[in-house]
Amino acid sequence: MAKKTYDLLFKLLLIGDSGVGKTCILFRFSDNHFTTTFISTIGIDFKIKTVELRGKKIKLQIWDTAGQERFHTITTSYYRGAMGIMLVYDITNEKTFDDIVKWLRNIDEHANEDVEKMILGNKCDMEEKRAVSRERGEAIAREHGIRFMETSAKANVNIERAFNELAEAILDKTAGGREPDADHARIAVERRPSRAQHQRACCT
Amino acid sequence: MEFTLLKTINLISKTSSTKKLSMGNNVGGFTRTLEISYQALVSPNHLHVLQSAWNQHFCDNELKALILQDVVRTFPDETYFRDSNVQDLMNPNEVIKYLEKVKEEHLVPLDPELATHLNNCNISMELFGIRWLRLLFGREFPRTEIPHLWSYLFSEGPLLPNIHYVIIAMLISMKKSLLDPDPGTVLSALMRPVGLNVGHVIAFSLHLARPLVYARPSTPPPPLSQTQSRNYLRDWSLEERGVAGQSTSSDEGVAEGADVARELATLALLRAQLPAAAAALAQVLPKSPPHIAQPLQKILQLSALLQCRNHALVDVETALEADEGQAPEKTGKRQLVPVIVSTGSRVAHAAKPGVKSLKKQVKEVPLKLFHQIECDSNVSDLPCLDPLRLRTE
Repeated sequence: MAKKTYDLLFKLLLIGDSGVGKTCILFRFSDNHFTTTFISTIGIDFKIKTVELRGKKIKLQIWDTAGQERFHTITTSYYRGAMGIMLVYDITNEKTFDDIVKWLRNIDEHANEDVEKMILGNKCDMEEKRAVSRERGEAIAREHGIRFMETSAKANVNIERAFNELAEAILDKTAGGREPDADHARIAVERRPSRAQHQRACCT
Repeated sequence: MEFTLLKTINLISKTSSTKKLSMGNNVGGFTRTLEISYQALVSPNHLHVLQSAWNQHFCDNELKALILQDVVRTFPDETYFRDSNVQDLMNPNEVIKYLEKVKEEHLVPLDPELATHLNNCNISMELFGIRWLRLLFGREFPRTEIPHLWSYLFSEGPLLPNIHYVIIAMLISMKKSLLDPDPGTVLSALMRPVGLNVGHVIAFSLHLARPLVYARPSTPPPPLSQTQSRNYLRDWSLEERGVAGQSTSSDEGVAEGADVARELATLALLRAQLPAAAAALAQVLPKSPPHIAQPLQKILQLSALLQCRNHALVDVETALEADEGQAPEKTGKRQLVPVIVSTGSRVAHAAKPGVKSLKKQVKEVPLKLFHQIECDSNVSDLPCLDPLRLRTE
């Protein structure tokens, strides 16, 4: 047996309409690379990246799903094992934002109840083509009590931050991650201002 | 179950009073009624619990209809896409069933160790197989090699009867990396196969299809490490193919025209790439210790031999072809063309501008002027300045 090179294994899932940039986000995060060529994901893809959080080596197993409806039955079967889900829409395409509700319903139906969620409004580098304001993104996130960030895989905005924040949220939950009290303190005190900071950092 | 259904019916009749709800006892009527009241069912919030189950059911039905529509609309003029087997294959559920069948009927008996390990890793065939099948392995091999593989796949008709052998051949060819204890590594290997050799996969799947006719090919060269980029593979793909072709042909005992042409292509590729590579190596290592200098010298000698403008070697082999009653120009030239336009030869030209002019010279036919005396004899077939014997001198 190969020796374990990590302390914890987190399974993450990327979902959202076709063409919003799920694969690009994953590529930026795992390979720090961006390509404009559109290669649609067939079924499901998968990447691994190990990060270090609070002195723990965390292996992120990230599943990238096909956004196309036809793969729906296949992709939903991977919701179950996910500990964190990133829900991606494209800020330049209103429909992808409207579909967030549909994706949230998919999560409710197929994912574990305690799964950590995060909404990402991708392509925030394309300000001139923006169709969904940041306020609307924030509003839907607040309504469902989910973290929110605007990202750009192309300009490398908030990509690493998004994954780190999602991983930290899962770490908070896992046993041995933190003391429960400290958890609450962190959520109440730290997270909110830090989130606001990200949003300012992006697209201003 | 029946209890839940009754509850459902009650709830429906309460909530959607405007719809015509004839609560017949027959099941068909019930289903129809449900379809009518679908809108009513999904909207009210107090039905949330019920909603998810039924909503899912209808969403699934909608999706099924959409998929069916996609399937029916795919190239309606192509008979291939009208075949019911092919249409079944395009349906995701059918693909999953098919892949499981391939595993149970072929992988398990042929390589139980690998099948068990995949099971232990909790990796089902559809994870990687859907993409393999949907794009006909288009992302698993370098693009330059795809035509080769597809020629084989389509060689036995549009139903692709060999496709499952290709899947099995790929899996068994990759076995070494697939037996890694870490499921993540295994999955990565399956999602992004590295160093799969098209020639070997084809030879292997031929063997799987007809083990008595085709011998099992020897193990392929070890896959290149991840750090060596795919470009490297692409550059040398033709050469690899040549080698693979050789092994297949030796199994059959007779070298066929295509094999000879492939060997010629390999030779041409070597001629285009080796001299430049050797020269670059020699430039980097000007004063090398004897244990490097000696093999380097040999490489340089070989590349010099390749660069020699006497292309008689090729001509001789083409002529052999001609003896066997095959058209020499066709086999020779056609197969050589892609090699000449490949990136490799461009690199060679860039590095050594002399090569280009040399090649041109080779193609020039030396002219010989015949003297009148040489043409005197009427029996001679040699070309002369006065073929019609018009001169009276």
